[in-house]
Amino acid sequence: MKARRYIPPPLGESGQRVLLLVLAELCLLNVADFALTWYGMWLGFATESNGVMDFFFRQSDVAAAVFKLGIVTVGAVALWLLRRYRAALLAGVLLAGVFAAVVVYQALWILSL
Amino acid sequence: MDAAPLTVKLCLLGFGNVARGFCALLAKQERALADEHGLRVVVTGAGTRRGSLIAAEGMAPAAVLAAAPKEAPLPEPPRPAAELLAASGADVLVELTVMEEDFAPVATGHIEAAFDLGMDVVTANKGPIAWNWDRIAAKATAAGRRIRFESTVMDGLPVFSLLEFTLADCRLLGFEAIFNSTTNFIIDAMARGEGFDTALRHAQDEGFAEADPSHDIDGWDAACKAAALANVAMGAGITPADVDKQSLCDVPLERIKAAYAAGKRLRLAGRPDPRPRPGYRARHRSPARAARRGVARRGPAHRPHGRRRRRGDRRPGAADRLRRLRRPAAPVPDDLRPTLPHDGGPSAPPGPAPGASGPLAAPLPGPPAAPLPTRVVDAAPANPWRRAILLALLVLAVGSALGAVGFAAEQRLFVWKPDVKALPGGGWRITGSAGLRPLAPALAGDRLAWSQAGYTCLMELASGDTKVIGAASRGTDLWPPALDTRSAAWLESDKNGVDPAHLWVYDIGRGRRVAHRAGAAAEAPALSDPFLAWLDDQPDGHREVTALDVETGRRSALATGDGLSSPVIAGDDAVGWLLQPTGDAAPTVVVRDLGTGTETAIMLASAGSGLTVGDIQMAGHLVLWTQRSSRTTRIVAYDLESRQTTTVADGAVETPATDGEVVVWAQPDGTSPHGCVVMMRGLGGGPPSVAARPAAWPAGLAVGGGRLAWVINDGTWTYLDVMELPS
Repeated sequence: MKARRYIPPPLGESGQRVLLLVLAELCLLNVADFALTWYGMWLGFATESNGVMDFFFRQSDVAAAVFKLGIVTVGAVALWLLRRYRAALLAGVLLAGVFAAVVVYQALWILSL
Repeated sequence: MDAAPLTVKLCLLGFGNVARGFCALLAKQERALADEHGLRVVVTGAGTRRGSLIAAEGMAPAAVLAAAPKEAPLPEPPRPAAELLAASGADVLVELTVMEEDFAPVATGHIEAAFDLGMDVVTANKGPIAWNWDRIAAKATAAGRRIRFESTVMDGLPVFSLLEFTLADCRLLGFEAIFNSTTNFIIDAMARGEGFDTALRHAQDEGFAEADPSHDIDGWDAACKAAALANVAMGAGITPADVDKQSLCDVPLERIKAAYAAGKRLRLAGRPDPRPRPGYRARHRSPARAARRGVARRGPAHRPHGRRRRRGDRRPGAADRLRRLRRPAAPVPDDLRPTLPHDGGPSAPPGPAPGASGPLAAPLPGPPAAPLPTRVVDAAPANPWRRAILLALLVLAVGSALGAVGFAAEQRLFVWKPDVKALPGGGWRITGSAGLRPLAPALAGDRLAWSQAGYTCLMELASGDTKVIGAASRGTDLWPPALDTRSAAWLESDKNGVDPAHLWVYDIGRGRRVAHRAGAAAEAPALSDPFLAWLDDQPDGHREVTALDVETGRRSALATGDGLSSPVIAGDDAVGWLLQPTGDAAPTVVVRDLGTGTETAIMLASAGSGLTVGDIQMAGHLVLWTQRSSRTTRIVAYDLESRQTTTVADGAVETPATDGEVVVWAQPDGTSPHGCVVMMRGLGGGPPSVAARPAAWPAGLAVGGGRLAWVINDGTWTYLDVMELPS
């Protein structure tokens, strides 16, 4: 007998609350990431290894800020619009976790300079 | 010709308000039942504790109502239930007796007796469903009979039919429901300011509450309904005693009013709880894990009465639909809504004592009631964001921990740091092996800078804190650093001399470094705050001495032309460079005061003297160099202020260094165990004295801030020592 594919139930209200907070957290972490990256570059000890961001940093700091904050904000809004899917919560949690790790890593690295 | 209607014979056990209302409804719908469904419903038996009625040929419901008007008992004497059921010859038992809280033995006995007599059963009594569902379902299956109990939960709302028909093949994962309306009425009345007793009286006046309201108030009514729903729809296999309960009496008035003031309502709610307890565990994984994975459990591994479900078990016949309702599902994870603390004490069921009997009684043994905690759940929780906030913080914490662990691992495994140890007599030793030799120390103030294996390092001599402030990129050479009290500078140039070099300036106070472009042939810079000067090639092939104000970034050419040679030197507001004319002309150092623009030319050796000059350096207002002949080496100093030349030392001297106040140098010493000694001499006058006795001939000396540094190679290790100069 063919096994039925498991279809997870849609994300509930409490899950959507978590997603909202995680996305807000993601946006704040993105700001922190940009600030720490900019500060590390200003200190002269860091270089932007992301080619796209490096391109925008070469244009100006404002262009880099607008692009970085904009792209993550758009992504967060997209995830919020897809909030009925559990994958949106998973993606938000993973992104926020990765951003938190990157921000803490950068902060510790700058403190060690 | 129409077919004759199918006659359905009913036996009514219990003849109170519900039974009377049921008969009235049947009487009202008699024509519709016959015309639309081909049914003729008659009553062949009815019984209560006070009377009974047998009509083997069948009575119309209206006739039954006429035979037993309101408040009057049934016309015949009471009979035992089994006798009444057998005598009635009915097709369907309508079980409408009052619910017993003590395991429902009487009503369960009625139902099982009806099954034994081949009857189907309809009941509005939730007791048997809540307490003995497994037994009843098994009995129905064995007898091939049907049982209906839609009105046991949520009165007229089709809960079980919804699950059985509308949501057929769906799995019930959980529910949360407000089962009891009496408590709603009382809570709302209390929220409006009424006392508990007044609210209860009003509830009784309105017909919500019974004369004995403890069944509702103490949560037993809701517990029975929750257990019935969980048993039938989720296969929970529990009894009302297994349900956490809390009496409304234990809920503080302040809490009710606070919820009301916040625009919310406090409600007694029931739901499945995945908390593990003995005898109710998943077979393969914990309930929490199963819920997390969104995977339904195969079923509870345990049934309250000791029977495990086995693969291949089947309940045929009329119970098939019910079995579909009983398909177990994963327990719903606790949503962490705020709950009241439970009283923790044993809770015995209220109402009549076990074994209460009457004319219809058929007592059954039941399992002992388990003392369980109680619970009341807010219908509108006080802070539904708390769980979300906690989870978001958990994500933040986990990510942060990963970042911190990654940083620590990288620092430990992949980041090079100089090996610095304190010397027993004061000072520091930086050690390196073959590929990591420390080189070219520079001292200024309380700091030491040096280069080591492509890294430029800076050390706070007071604390021993060391930073790597520069690392050579692949394919570049790192030149020794220059140091003053505010900055360190070094040159990173292309190994092939093709790409532009970078002059790095590290601002010690701000911890910031800035790279400045220089020509591919740039040579080691000299630093005298705020000026950085170096010798570079121009595109036209000429050489140029360039000065850079590191604060403003402004560049200026100090000298251009042929004959310019390294090194470039710097002191107080002055930059100097070597002018090495062709032919027999004397080598000259030209020093320019960057404040006044005046230049001073210092002839390092007479023209045609045959002396070789070297070790040219500058500190403060002093220019120092060596003059070598075939017989001796002389250390010569020129004071830019007094414009006097002084011979500091003469003999087999090597590697002089000065900070503008003291000159140090190395020379052979027969009395020293290692054959050499470092001498020092103050420029204010006085004879030379021994500064220190190194373990081997020092490769490089530096002096500054009252300290002496040298690099020693003992054949195995190369180390850089820094120590206090003797006073």
